Amino acid sequence: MNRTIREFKLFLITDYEKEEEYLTRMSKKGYRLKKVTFPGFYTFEVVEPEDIVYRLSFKNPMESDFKNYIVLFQDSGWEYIFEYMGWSYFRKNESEENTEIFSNHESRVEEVNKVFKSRFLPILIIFTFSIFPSAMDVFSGSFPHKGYHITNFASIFIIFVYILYIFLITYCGYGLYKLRRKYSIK
Amino acid sequence: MNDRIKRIYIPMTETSFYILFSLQEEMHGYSIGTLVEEITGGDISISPGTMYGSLSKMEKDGLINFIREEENRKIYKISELGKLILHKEIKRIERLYKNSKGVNLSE
Repeated sequence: MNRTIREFKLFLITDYEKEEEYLTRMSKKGYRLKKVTFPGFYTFEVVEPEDIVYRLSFKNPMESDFKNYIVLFQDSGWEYIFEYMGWSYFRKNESEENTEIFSNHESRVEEVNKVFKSRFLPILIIFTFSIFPSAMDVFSGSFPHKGYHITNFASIFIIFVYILYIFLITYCGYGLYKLRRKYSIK
Repeated sequence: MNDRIKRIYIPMTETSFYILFSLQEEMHGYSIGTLVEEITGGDISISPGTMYGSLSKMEKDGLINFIREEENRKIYKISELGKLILHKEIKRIERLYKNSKGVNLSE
């Protein structure tokens, strides 16, 4: 049984390429990815340094063709490690041929669009219809509606979530924009 | 053939062309990739993420049909619509080739 180490790293939905680089870097130092635990604990096995490329792809594991999807990657020489939060983790020896999981920019843009639709859009909808109106109530003084004594805490909580969402939307929105620009054909 | 399909697939990318071309025979994703690499002398290799995306899109657009599953591999074959589009593409490429060889612009 190999020794393991654990590192905390937070990668948001638009950081998947940075996460691939991080895992690839770790493998060169002799750390082989074992598991990821919410919200960002990476467990590595301590091994010899290896030249291994890590790739992440976004695919809902509840979809009926998930197994077919994984087998297609395995056929192409990728080791499927696990699935975490909708991301499938793959690795391959750097010396093997074709260490990319996408061979053109169109399919990379499609991947970005998939992340936008299933991850970014829900955040935006929740913000617009729930968090933003609640925060406005707090700002305008119409919250608390009645004088419960916990309402001060509730107000602070709402403002905290409001700020968190603004950060998320700005960070991921800009991340999506950058990814799209990087891979747009023109 | 509707306009949307025409707009997307005519002209089509080399990757799409070779996938559709290969599917004149029943095949699954990985075997398409191997065949394409072989007939292009290794110039075109299609990564699994791209292969999966192309196959799903072509199936949704009705260019190929899902035939059956073998050991978790989906086997597809070109549809009538797919054949029509492939034929149009081949005609277009033939013309391109002929013109590039045969028409002397300086005359």
